[in-house]
Amino acid sequence: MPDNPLNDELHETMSRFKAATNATPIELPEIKKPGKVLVVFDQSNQDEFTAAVGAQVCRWYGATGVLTLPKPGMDVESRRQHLEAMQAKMEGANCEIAPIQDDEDPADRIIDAMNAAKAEFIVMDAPWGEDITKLGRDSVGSTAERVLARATIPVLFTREPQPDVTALFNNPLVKLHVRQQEAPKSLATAFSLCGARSSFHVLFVVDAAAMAEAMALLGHEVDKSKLTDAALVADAQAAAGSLVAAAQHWAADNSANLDVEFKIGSDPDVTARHANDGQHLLVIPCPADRNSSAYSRALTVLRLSSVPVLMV
Amino acid sequence: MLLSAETSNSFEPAWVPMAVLGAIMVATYLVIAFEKFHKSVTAILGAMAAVIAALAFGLFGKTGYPVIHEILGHDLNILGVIIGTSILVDTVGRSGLFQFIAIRVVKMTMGEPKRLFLFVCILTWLFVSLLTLAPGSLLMASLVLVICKTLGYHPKPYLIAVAIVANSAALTTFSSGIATLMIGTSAQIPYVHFFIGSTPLAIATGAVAFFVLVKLYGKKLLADAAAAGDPAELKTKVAGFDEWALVKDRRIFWRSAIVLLLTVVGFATAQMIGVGLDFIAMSGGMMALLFCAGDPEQAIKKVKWSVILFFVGLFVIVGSVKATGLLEITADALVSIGGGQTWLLVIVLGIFVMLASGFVDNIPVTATMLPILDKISSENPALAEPLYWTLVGAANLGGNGTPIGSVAAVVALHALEAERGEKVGWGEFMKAGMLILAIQAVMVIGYVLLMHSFGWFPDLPKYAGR
Repeated sequence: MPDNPLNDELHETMSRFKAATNATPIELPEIKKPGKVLVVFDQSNQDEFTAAVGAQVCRWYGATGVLTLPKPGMDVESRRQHLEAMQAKMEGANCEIAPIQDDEDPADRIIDAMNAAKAEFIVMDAPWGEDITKLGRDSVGSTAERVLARATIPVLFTREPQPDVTALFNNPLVKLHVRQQEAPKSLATAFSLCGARSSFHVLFVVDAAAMAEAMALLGHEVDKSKLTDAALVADAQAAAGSLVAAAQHWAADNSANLDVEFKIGSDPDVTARHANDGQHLLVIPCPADRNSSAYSRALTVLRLSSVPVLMV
Repeated sequence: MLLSAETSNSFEPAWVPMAVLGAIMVATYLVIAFEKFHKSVTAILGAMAAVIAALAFGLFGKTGYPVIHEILGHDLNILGVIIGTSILVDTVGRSGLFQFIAIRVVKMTMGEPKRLFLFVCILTWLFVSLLTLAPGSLLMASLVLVICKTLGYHPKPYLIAVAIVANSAALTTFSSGIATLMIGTSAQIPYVHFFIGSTPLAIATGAVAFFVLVKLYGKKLLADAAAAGDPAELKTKVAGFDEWALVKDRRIFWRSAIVLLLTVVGFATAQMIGVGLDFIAMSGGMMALLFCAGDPEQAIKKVKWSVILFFVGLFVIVGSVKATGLLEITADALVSIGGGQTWLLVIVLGIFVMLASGFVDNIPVTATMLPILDKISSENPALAEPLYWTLVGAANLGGNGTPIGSVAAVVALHALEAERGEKVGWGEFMKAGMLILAIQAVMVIGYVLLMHSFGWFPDLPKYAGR
């Protein structure tokens, strides 16, 4: 009965119930608060903002900030002076300066510093403003990309400097995909970092093109006429039940505010626009498979975002 | 004006206009009943034909066409309530509140089939009472399909229960169903009076429907459950349902609950504070849009504009026919059939309305009967209470007899067909529906006569001083 308008309403209402009945209980993983946070500077115009974000992370986690500046060709004393200047700006955060090393390749040195300090969280910038024009629009900078490719811990990239860091952290946006393995960890990391003091926004982006592509890869024929906005959102809501329930239980247990939104469109565009417009701290899962298209999409989100992006 | 209510006692019947307008009304109702054409379009076309005929016969007198606006003006509050509650229900529904309540209640059944059946009936009663017939039954039909699929139960008995219990629920309050809204508005029954007069009947007829359905389907429910698997496993499955999966924003969730509660309180106190139910419904809808993150465009689109057009058409047809005096003659005929006996009049009215509502939509039946009852009650105020309460019960419950008799049945049976490809035939539905309707007919008539004879019905203020 394709023409009866009742069918759409029925489908939509059923999908909401399906979310509840399919919500196989998931427990969010326990996230150990990092003891050390590696804060990476590069003597760019973003450093002060990186210091402010790093300080916020260290304060909220109660962690020690380990400051480093891998910059080929820069003398040791200048580096020390710059790091001390940044340390002075990180008020209220317990910080130390990492041993200064020779550095041919900044990405290698960052990973070395991370291992040496036993850091469990990285704060660094990904080029923004004038730097990005040098790099071209399709890149977030080779250092950022290579650190992300090798880091096994969350990396918080600072982007365009913002005036109020606390406001960003009080307003996190966690972008998830319903069937993504890393989704629970991303949620748990956001909760662990921002805590009950923040107002959480959880965003699911339903990307029809990506869905059709994935289905085709799995060998399923896709009838594109059935991929209507309402049907896609209804299915996403049904599939997201477990994650939404887990998030709502956490919010209930911690008396935190949390809202969930489903949006239609191209995943990176919608996510970045939503984060930029809402002045959020954006939290996104970073797929373990660095060759996957999901990983490429995560990098595109980072490239398009003007707000800090935490990749978990 | 050739004929009017004011001259009703002394008019010379103009048979030709009566016959023409009466034929237009009957033809419109038949097309609606047999669903040969979209019912809203049918009603509007019928209204246009009625207006042309009425103007041609000079039924609107010197005032002419503007009489139509006067006719519609009397019933604007009904349209206001429908629009306001549609916006409210759509916006509040998006908060996950109703789904949350439903899943919480289902978890209490632990998957035990008879308990689930009972709770489906109770939830149907609750949601239809609060949200009106169409959205309440859609919500319940969806719930039943999802729960039954998850547990491996056959949804048919549960959906038939939704279809039948919903009609009892629709007579719970003034605003639970469109028919009750029309009757309450026309007879000017205060919300609380309506509640006192109608709710006991709603509960009793709903309970009877439940017991008859358990008698008819009890064994099937148990057999289905036995075939579905290990009860302990089903219990675990139900315990795993998570009602929070449906809640998108906890603040919006709680605000929605408050707005809904305030609207119900507003309905109950509307007369006391000197406003109409349409004002309360619109206020509820606007509060929902303002405080519950409503999307105005989306919510306004969800208003059943086809139902609004259907009503506009019906009101114009009935208003035009009324101008011929045909309904007054029908009223006189009805009184004469009763021969001055209230009990006989109640029986005749009850059975006629139940049968007519089963085959034609109960809305046109109610719309047609209201001017007739108004005429009778104006001349015989003692008959007002028994006749209006009979109409309340009969118009709502009459739909139980057939699979097309009520919105709830249409929604529930369509859901079964759309999701499972399974049809419920007239014979199968009527086996349960007609048996229940017969018992409920006796209950309605018995209830009205009993309440009337003991003087337990609250007075109808419109006719009390006459």
